[in-house]
Amino acid sequence: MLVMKFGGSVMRLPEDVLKVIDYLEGQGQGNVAVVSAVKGVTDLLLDMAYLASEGKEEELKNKFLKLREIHDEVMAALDLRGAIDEDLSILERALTGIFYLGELSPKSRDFVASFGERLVGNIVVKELRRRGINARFMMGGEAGIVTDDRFGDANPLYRASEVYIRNRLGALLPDTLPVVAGFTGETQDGRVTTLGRGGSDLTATLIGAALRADEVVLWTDVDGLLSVSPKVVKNPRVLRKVSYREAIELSFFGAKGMHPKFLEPAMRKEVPVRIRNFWKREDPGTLVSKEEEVKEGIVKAVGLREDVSIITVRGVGMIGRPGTAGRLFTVLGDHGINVLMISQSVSESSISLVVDGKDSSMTSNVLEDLLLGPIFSEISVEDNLSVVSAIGAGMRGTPGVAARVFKAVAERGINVKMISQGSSEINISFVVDGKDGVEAARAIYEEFKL
Amino acid sequence: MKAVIIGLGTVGRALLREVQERGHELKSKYGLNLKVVGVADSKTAVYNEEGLNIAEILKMKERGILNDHPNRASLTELIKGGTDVLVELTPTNLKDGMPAVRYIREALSAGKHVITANKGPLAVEMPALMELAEYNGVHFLFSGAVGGGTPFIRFVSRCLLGERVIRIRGIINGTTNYILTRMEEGLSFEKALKEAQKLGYAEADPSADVDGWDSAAKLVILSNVAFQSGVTLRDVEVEGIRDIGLENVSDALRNGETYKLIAYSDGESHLVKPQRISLKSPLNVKGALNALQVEAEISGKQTLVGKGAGGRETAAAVIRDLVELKVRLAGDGRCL
Repeated sequence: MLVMKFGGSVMRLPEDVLKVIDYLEGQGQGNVAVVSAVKGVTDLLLDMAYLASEGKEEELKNKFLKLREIHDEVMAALDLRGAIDEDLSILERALTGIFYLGELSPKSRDFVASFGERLVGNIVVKELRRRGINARFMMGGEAGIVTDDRFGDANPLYRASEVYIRNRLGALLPDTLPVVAGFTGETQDGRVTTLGRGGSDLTATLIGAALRADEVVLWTDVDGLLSVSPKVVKNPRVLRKVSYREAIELSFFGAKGMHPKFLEPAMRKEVPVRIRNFWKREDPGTLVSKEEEVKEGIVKAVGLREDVSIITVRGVGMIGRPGTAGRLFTVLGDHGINVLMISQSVSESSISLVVDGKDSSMTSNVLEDLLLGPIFSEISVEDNLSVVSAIGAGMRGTPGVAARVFKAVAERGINVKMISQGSSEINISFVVDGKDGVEAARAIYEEFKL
Repeated sequence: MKAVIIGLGTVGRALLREVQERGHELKSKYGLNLKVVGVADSKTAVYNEEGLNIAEILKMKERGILNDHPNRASLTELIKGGTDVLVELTPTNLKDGMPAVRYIREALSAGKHVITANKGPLAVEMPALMELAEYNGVHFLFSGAVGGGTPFIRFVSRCLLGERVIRIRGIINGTTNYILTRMEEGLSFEKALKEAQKLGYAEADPSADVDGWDSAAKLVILSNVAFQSGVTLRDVEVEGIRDIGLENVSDALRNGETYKLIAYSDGESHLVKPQRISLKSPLNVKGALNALQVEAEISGKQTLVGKGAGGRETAAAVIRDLVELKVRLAGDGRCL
């Protein structure tokens, strides 16, 4: 049994949807499909929700027409006119409600945003049924995905979702082909939620894990996970096999906006995940599974993340005073600032953090406002930096890897500003000046012949 | 503490009587000042914020219906209104757990603690209900769902705290054990079943007991408690006792063995199946008794034997949960 997810990157154009339908027809009943919205539709819906709340009737109408056009084109090709009229009329009413109240709650925004998957899912199902496949459309919640109440970026309740997916979706197999709206779930009292960035991948792995699928296939428009960003090297190699933990490290650097969160359910139940290119179906893609294949090389991939900043707090008063780091991170956490790397000198007189470049000025402001004083006496910021990471399970317990990494970088005259290695030893990360990022990544790429 | 009781069958009514008789003791001994603010049977719900007159409810139920009660309300009012805890005692449904599952989910999402003695909802979706309780920050207790008044669940969950349970094995259905005991004495399956029905052990439709599903439901609960296995009824391999036959029973006896409907779990595999065990096994209990053997990593095998069913006994388990809830809420660390 396969769980097949078709991302927005696959369904860019109306004719792509037809290709997906053809493919699903070939796969048949007993498998599960997860669909994302057609490329751009979710953003369009969010715009519409916003325009409605602002009372901008004309613009809203235009966007609604555009939404209709995108889907009409698919339906015209399939001779399925009217297939989503009912959904569109529900959407229209929801928008009318928002329009008259002039109010857009996270709850209503999620309800509107969920229509991208709902519309395309219903078209896919209607066409499959016409072709004699017992397909059935289900919203994430109907399929069993229960989430917390964080509308817009909801987290699944994993154990509950597993039970409900098995009881509801699992009960339909093997003589049905359920088509599930990715990215969507529902709260315990039945409100539609969305799972945030990369949500459809999570939908697929949740279902795959609950039903112990043979494989979760994430169909995209890339060949798989790459050993390095194409920005660093032309035509980098596609990794054939990586472990869950390597994939989590890699997805952080991935260009495809994959959120590592999606790997968690698969990892828990040890269900293999394969990332494949829908337009190169002969290609096996990247298999993510439990096995840590060490033989592919010590360092398997190199990651590059540009535009990060180092924030350093210093203070003699921090020395030997328990709880200083706690205070620092509580403040950051309270302001929703995500910390990418952490390093502290043994003397305890300074702590350095790496944050995303866009969070830099907010971070330094917040820290100055709330912490600057006798204990944290100095806060400094360095912007326009890059994080480079050497990734590979084979690094664990292999002496000399760090030496090779830093020698390769040093030989190109690049200065390393900060280093961090987790004790799991599957990742060595360091920070360099922004202008040196690509070159540092290339140095590692060449040193380890990736 | 305000409580709502849904389900006024044998257990529900026994619970009301116990509360009525022992209310004072519960208050002085445990600080549990229980106020029953709502009750519902299959037709009518009654609610009074100030507390219902239990004697009056019991009297009405003796006549059969709650219809004449002045304080009629809707079930939703009962569940989502001013109660602290929902006591759910509706009849067991092993197919989809309804309607109990719906009541329990509603109560949990409304931030109410839940106590149930109903194995239906647990068999169908226990791991989900546990997570929903956690998510909503409320307590969810169910010691009456396995073994009536015999504390099998606490035996597995609490008595062995700090060490690992390796496997559990036992007889957790009294009806089949009664039938098998009578077959040992030479009665045919059919005759033994008729007798069990006459004595009130078996239902008119005995399939849940005889085909092993009642045992399987209880095994699901015990396995989730002992191993956090996340299983539901669909994970249990089930075989009943219909096909054992008298000749096999007497053959077993000649070899110093006997047939028992054994429920087994080690957290990975879950099995309900007739098995031959030694006549000397501590699990060889007679009649409608239940017995559960727990094998712990360090302290070894231990067996708990008890009656396993009964309205008053199960009501005692519900009271145990009410006291436990009170102790937990009061932040009192006493182990009961």
